Amino acid sequence: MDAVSVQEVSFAYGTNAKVLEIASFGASRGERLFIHGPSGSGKTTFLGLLTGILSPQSGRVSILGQNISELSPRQKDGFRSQHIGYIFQQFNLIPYLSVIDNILLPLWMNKNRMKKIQSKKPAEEAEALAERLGLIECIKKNVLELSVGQQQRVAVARALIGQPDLIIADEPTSALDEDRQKEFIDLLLEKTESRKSTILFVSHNQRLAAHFDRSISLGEMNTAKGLK
Amino acid sequence: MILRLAFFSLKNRWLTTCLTLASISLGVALFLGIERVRFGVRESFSSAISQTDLIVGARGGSLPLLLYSVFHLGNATNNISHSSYAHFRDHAAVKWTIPYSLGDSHRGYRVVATNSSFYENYRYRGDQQIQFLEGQAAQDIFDVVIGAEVARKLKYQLGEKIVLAHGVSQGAAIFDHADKPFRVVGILKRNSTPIDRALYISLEGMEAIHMDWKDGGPPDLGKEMKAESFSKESIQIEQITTFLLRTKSRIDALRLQREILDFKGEPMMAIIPGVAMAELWNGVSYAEDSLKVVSTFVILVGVLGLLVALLTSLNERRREMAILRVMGMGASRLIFLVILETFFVCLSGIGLGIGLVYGGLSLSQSWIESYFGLFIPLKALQMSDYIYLTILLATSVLVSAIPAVKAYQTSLSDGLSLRV
Repeated sequence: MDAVSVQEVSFAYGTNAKVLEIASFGASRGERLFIHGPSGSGKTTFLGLLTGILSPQSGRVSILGQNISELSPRQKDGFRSQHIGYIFQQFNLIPYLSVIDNILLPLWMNKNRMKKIQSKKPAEEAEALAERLGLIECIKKNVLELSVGQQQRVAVARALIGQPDLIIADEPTSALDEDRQKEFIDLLLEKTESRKSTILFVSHNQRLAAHFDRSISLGEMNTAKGLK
Repeated sequence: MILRLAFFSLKNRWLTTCLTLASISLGVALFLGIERVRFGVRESFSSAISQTDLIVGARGGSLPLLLYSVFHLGNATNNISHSSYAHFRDHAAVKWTIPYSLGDSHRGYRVVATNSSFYENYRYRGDQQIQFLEGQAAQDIFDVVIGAEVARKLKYQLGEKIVLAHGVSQGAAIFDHADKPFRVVGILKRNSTPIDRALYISLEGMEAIHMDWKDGGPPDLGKEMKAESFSKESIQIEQITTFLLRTKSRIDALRLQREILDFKGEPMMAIIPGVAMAELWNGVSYAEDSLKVVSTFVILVGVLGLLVALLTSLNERRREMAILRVMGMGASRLIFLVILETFFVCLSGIGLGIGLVYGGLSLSQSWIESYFGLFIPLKALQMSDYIYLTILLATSVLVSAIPAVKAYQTSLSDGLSLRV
């Protein structure tokens, strides 16, 4: 069973032309996949489909063997919060929550994800993660007081907590210089090594592809004509 | 956990939260305040007289009788003879009577001629009796007792000599009783009833200042009777204007009312104060209704303010909502979060408003009473208040569903693209 399987999928916003058309795409479990997605390649749409935030007009998107188009909106929300860890382009931490509360957010959202933690209490789990990511001294701080590097690591901790099966990272390094980019990717790969999580790392920067098991170009995969 | 999120989110937007809170609590305070004032006005109106079973006067309208006897408004068209009064004063079923002789004034304040029965028997607001701040009841012919408002406005002290005006006038009178000045012997304690705004002399005093008058005019110059020539015993009281009456047993009141109406001596009538007052209150109830309309609008404005605050905050929260969605927060929880925040703000606003009203009232109660002559009782919240506040809470929760659903929709269309 593949971690991700996309078959004959097409998508258009409203009645506009198709912006995404993919014949076949797949990632096996534990695979670390680099997806090259320059702007205008339908990247945001693609990730929206994978997370169930968007629904394809035709075709099939399966995550961990589950066809997510078949789920109700509520089930999609539940499925996403249980199985997917998401790292945003700008980290997108909730500004008014402390570091530890930001890390705990996915656990709050989903009971099943809460069950997968190793420690007895969620707070202990979050602290353990923060410890491993070098965030322990600022755990009570407001996220806005952190440096960009620290915010990044909080975003990683938030994606990793509760061991989601699939981690999607959307341009997480675009705001960083080259040294920092490598550092970040190493950190991400290292922390997911033991967990056998599947990683989809999306970036326009092709040079980063070297760090991953396999590399795919979204631009080549997407045959839709509706793009600019 | 969702509580925690709601709390921190509100805390994050503390300025908006505080302003919304202020607008809600002010709305509630204003609403409850108006309700209290409305209640206070009604109370002080209907409690101006109590324990009186019948008010008796010359035949005419029942409202004019009530107005001139209790509220010192308007004039009597006719007097009644003292002998008719005496007939009912000595009636077997009557416990006490208070005679009033009206018609004169002092600088816009009514002069009421009465006797000692007034000081003994008059009751207001349940069982409150007339009390003196200084001095005593009018004993001598030319003694006058003044109400608290009169004393405060005109700055009269005990022993002061004042001149009564003939007839009821605001400013300088056409005729006055300058030849027979009165001496202030008592000042009444404030009681927030029409009594505060009147002067009290004896029936004999009223008779004395008019004794030498003829055909409704003053005596010719040089023919005035000297004030010193009067003695209380020598004065025969010819007529009074009205009298208040209390029966020994209240069951007799209706029978006595009938009897007064059928009295052969002269045309008279008797009214039951409570009934006449209810009638009067119904007549002016549109004033009360307008207050109600105002307070309803006040509440409406509060709810609108809440809605505006929510909708404006929505835009700055788009990013936050989108993050929560991607984290897997479902539609119902997202909507619940927004509604919960509203509920929080609204509930604490209501609490604050109630506190504001009661705190403010307990601090300013005596001040309001002394300056406006309005006694506002600190009454517990009424059923109608609870109903209104519940409606307010329910409305704001319902109204907040609009931004909540909108927030959900925006977060849907925003999807993963956090361009905000």
